[in-house]
Amino acid sequence: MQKFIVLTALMLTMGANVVMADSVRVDKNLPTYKPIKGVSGNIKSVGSDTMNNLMTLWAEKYNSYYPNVKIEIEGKGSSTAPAALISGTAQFGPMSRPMKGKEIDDFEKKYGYKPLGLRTSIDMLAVYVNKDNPIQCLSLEEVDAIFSKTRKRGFGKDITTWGDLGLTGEWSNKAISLYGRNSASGTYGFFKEHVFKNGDYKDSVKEQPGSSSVVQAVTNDRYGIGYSGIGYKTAGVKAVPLAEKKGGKCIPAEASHAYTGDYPLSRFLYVYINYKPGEKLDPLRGQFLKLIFSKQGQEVVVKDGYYPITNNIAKQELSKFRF
Amino acid sequence: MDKSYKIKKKIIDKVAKYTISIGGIGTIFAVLLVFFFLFYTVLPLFQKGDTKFQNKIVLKDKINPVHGIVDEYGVTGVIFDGKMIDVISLATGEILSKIPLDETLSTFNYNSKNRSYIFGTTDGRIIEADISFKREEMESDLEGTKNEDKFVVENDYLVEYKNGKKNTYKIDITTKELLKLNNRIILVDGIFQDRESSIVAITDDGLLHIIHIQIKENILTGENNKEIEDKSIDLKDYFKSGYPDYSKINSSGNGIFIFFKDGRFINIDARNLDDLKITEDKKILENRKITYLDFLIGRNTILIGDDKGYVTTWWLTEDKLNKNNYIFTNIHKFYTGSDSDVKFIYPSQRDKSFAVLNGDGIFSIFHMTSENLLFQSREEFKASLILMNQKNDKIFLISEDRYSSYSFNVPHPEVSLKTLFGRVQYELTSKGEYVWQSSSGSDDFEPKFSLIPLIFGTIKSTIIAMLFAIPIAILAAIYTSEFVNKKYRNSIKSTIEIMASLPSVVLGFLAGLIISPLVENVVLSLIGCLFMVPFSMLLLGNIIQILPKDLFNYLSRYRIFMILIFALPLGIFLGVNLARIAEKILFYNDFKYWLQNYEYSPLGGWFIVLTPLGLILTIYVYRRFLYGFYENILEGRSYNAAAVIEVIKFLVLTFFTILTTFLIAYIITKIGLDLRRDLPFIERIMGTYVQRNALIVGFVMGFAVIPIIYTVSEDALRAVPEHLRSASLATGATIWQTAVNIVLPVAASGIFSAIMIGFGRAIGETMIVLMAAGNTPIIDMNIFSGFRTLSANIAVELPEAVIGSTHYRILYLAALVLFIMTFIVNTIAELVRIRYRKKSSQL
Repeated sequence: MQKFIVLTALMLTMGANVVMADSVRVDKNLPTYKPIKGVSGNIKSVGSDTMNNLMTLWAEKYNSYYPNVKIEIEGKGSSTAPAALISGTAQFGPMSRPMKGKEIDDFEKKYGYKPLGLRTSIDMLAVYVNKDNPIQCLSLEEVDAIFSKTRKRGFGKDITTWGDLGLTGEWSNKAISLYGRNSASGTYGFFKEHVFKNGDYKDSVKEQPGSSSVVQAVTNDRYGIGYSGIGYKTAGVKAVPLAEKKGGKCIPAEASHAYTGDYPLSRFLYVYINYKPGEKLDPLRGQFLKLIFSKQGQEVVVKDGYYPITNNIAKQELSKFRF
Repeated sequence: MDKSYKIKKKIIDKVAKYTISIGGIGTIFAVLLVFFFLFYTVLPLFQKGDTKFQNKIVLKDKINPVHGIVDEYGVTGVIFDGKMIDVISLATGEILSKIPLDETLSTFNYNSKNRSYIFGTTDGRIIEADISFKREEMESDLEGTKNEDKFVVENDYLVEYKNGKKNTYKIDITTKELLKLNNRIILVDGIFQDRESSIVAITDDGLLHIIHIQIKENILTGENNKEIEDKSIDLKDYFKSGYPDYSKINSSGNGIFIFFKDGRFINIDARNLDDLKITEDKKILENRKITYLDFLIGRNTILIGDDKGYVTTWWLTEDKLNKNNYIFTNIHKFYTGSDSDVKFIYPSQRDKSFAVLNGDGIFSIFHMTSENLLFQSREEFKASLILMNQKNDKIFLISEDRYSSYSFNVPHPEVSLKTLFGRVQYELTSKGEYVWQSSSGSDDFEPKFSLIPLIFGTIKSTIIAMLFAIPIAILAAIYTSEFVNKKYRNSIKSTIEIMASLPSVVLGFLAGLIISPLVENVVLSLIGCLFMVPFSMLLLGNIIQILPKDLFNYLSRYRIFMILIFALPLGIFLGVNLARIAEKILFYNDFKYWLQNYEYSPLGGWFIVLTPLGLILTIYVYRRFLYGFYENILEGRSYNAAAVIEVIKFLVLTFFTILTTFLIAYIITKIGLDLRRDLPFIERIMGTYVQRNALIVGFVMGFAVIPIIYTVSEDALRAVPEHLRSASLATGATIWQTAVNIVLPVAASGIFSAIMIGFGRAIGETMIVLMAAGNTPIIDMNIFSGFRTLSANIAVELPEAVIGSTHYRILYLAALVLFIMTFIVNTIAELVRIRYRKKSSQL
């Protein structure tokens, strides 16, 4: 007895006006940012490395409106954001994963309310190989068997050489060299949760301190494989198309699949702030957030290689705080 | 002498004495302070938390608790009684509302991750009831309550007035029908994730359904694309003696577990939906009955409570015979405090601990990984549920008509000496292991805090760096102090000391990004050069003696240039070519593939590793047995003839070294010992090649350590009284004989402390290992694999650790361990040095 039903349900229709071509365009309905007077002070952001460049670009943009604002950005991994927000060393905590319960608890213990997380942009977590690598497609089961020792997705055997993935010739007996992120990274956690289904990394995954070092390492290591945000893609590496299931359709990490939900590893990039519910946010932070959720702010997202959010999401996020 | 001078001297003496004493005491004090600070930060890890009784409240109405959930603050809760859900104000004891569910419910299961219930009905529907707790915060509108904290019930909601705020606690229960099957649902369970949900249901026609729902949400249009796949397997034959009592589906949706109260268990492998397999049908509990069963957070571990008062934990482990097969295995066993049946188990929502309540009213909180008993007590009334809030700081015991609450505070439940230093069998693994994996992005992660891989990494990097640095540094020191022209001595020394001024981050950068990709392509050639460069130096040294005596004497002034111009290029040439030949003959044309392919003979690897042994053996045999014979040959020969014989001797001994090495390597290979996988204790010394590995770190860290060892040992050598040298030289000893037999023993204590200082530097070195070692916390003696040291680990992970958290304190523990390690090394160094110094002062 077998049934196979395909249901396509139109749940909600949001008035989105993004033209989906291969190049990404920003939602036309997003508000244009208009600077106000009298914003100055210091901003410090501690958190995600995936969003390091993004935060820097936003900061530059912000500085172009408000030259008196001094901005410092540190990106060692998403897990450093809660620690910095709790201790008060940072006003912004960019994170490439949502905060986990324990982190929210720790924050709430100190401040009495929960931190506010805002979805700022969309990333496709890509699996990178060296540009010379002939591999065409990987299923998530295979990625799980390459990186994880628990293989919770149920791939039959451990994958250690490129030959195990069906490559021939000089590749067939070459060991796969694994690169990953350090455990502070949100990308590390996201990969673990969504690819390994919370299984465990192999001990032989070389933990790199940043996304760019993962890409750099894969560029230099012909037999390497690694993962990081799509914003870090360079000419030296190739983002492997991914299939949700073995034998399924291979979806390349391209703009056209960023929004449709076809690509199995897309995610939101967040910025967390310490915002006391009901109170007015100071203009220094308020204007920064307003910039992020404006046309200019989202153009920066495109510039950095990530994908912008729609006006609808921006509206939802802006309604979460008062400024 | 004049008096004022005497007084002045006295004053200066006194001042000097006290300043030095203060300085000394200050230093000791500072070190102690560091030690105590580390200790003070680490100590709370091992302290038991405090858990206190808070209050007991009689409910204003009777309920029939079957299952329940408490909100995160522990002030409201829902109790499911089989037919309806009661919303309770735990702060005041009132029942706020009763929400009736479907009349036809036949079974339910609780999904702790989503805080939802999944129900099956008699007419085949599967319903999910999502329970969400909300706290709405407003400014208080109640006059005169500004300073008074209290809970009241307003309009069926619990309201808290606190610090001038009015918090309203709301509970939303939304039910939705997920799908409908044709028959009565006997058992149902499900997991719900963003993109994928899996449901397992047993219906009364004996079928087991597995339904996968894949959801793709289009962010632009909000369109939801759902794909439902429903597969089933007929289990009628298995259910002859009745339907099972529990069914569970694991977190990956591909393992289904079915239990009967009498201890029978059926395991269904659902990795391939088109080929559902029953892999096990066995009795897992003998003479005991299952009385309660649930998943631990993360849905990997099943907790089974039985009628004899035990809770056992189970998960799928790899079958040793068939690696693709998994067996349901018992791992831990917890005793609940009395032999009464286990009534309820509540898994914590924050970590791997769980609360158990047994029939005698004894309730306990255990942590699975550390096997710690966090709290145990007894409740007088007959409770039927034990619940905890999401934040893990309150415990509730709930009976039909009353409940009691406890505040629970155990900050570091996952720490015990065993989890830090012992083998621990972590979830889903088949055997106990030492693992460091400190954090991740989700709450259901099981932190693995074994310091052993880090201590191992520290020792490994230090040993390899020292193996490289000690011979070079000490030989260089002997060379500059004994052989080199005094004119150049100081400039050579200061040049080498400049090496020490290179920041280690620069060295790390070079090692990680430039040297390691280069070395990767030429590993074997590099190893070849390691052997052939010293060989060609010796060879050249021998050959040069053949030259006429005058020419030889003239040339020996330029020996350093000779080495640079001839021996070094020759050594590299020989090394590279030898490596090429060896790769062809011994390593099946591909050294790196040879490293990971155990079907290839290990002969070549043994050959490399055993060469030093072969050399030592040959020299020993020659010295012991053939030296006299050799002297006889030399007897009466002319200078030139003797020189030629010397060269021949050198070549013959080289040949013998190779032969001996080969023989030993051959014998070991024949015995069947492979240096890539089955060495005792250390398992392997060669294995899969990783770009950033111990060899690279060894080289570069050796480079960082060499100047220190060199300078200190050179000073020690130079401090040897000149009259000893002169005496030795005057009796006809050569410079080399003098250096080795006279100077070296006298300077031994200094050289030893030089080595130890180098050792201390290598143990604590951070930046080089951080950048060049790959930071993989593995225990593997393979010189071609990476490692993670204590210091690099602290540098990598401290920024992410929240102050006061377990992770934070364990990083401090790592620092303490490092401190103790260097302390031990330095103490040994000091003891040995003092002993040697006593000896040499007798000279």
